[in-house]
Amino acid sequence: MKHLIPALAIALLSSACATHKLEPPAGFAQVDQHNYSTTMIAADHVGLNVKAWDNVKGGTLSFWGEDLVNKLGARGYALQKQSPVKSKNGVAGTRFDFAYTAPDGAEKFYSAVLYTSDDYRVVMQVAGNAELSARYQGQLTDIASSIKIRGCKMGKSLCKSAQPSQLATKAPQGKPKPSAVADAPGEPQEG
Amino acid sequence: MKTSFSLACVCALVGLVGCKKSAPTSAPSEYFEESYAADEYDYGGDMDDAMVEAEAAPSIAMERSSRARRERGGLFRKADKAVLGSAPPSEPAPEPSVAPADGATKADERPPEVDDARHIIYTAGMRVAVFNVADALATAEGMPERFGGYVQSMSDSAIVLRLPSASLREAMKSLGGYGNVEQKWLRSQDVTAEFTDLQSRLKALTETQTQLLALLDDARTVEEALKVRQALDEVTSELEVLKGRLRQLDNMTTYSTLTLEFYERGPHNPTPSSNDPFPWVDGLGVEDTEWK
Repeated sequence: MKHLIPALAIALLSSACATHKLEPPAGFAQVDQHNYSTTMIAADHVGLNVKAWDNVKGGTLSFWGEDLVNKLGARGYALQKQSPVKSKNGVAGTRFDFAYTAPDGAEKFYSAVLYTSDDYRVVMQVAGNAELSARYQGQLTDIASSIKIRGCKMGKSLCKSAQPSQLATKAPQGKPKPSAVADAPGEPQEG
Repeated sequence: MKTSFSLACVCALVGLVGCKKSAPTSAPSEYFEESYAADEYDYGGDMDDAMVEAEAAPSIAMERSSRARRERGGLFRKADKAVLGSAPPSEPAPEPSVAPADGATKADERPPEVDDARHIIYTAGMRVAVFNVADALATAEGMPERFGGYVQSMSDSAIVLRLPSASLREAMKSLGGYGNVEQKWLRSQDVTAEFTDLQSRLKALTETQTQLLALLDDARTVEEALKVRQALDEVTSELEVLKGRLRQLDNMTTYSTLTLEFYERGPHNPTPSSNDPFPWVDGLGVEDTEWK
């Protein structure tokens, strides 16, 4: 009993600081974990990463969803699909599936699931080689509904944000921005 | 009394609202990212302006320089070959498309030994964030095959290239395309005065050498011959020093030094986003899910 109370207190404190909670899904091993980030890797090098930031007033799912898609689009990510999800504790989220060509020409799949709570905005990312996409697309729905997102407050609404409207990335242009993925050899971009 | 009490209440409310608005709303990491991005961008912007001005110069200067070099005397042409040795020959700069003005026509009619071109040494550098440093280095190493020149030195993350000055701009543009150019710089050093001085001294000393050789032939006594020989040795020695310096200068103006530093681009090196209050997406992406 003597040791149980401090242990419980520490457990309560540490879980209170965490922005999210995700147990490693089947096939993934956790390699790094902090209050604002978690990194997991599968044996076939598919990476799963959860990142969190403090949210701001007005930081709805629509606002951050549009920001995310626009900026990833500018870097060469092509949005393929957008679908609503819900976390284990009922926080609304949106899943964005992208196609991406790495600078070395490798085709990749990249999925980002965005959640917003009153205190945090959380992104769960899964990426790997495109040929592994089919294996993980189905599993990702289960993973997205098994994560707990902290920071919901009584009487506030960001945890139940409305879904963003259907977003789209722009088709790649001849001269992408410096931040874009036009790092492919043979296609110089303006410095 | 009532009015002053109401005023005090209103002031207190305004103060409270003001305090709340000024409180930070972003995570500390975002503050760091924002300041980092701003610093890099300011610096890069200035460099870009400088590059636009400076980049215009090499091609013009080198066009004139290469034309003047073709007009130079046979002595210097031999020196050219000697100094360039194993280095691949530089690509010929294109002839100016604009028809020469009257003044230029007159300059062309001057004796070939008169060299009125600008001689400028260009030194440039770039710091590029790339996804794969090894690949970027390999690409940079192959630049001399495309443009001429050679690799001067190389390390794990940096390479120093000597490229034909006329191709410097194109090479920098091409290499900049392999990642995010965080910094670039270009310095120029005008050595025209030294070049002209060296050529004049070379011409004068060559004439002196010819005269001394004639005197040596005409020497009647051993003492006379020895004195002339001594003077001739001094002149010859000085001539070799001058020719060496000229060859060095010619190499430095023909080939520009380009220093490239590569570093790995990842979540901790976000793409600088000007005027973006939320650069959080810079840290997201496929690379961010990779474990390193």
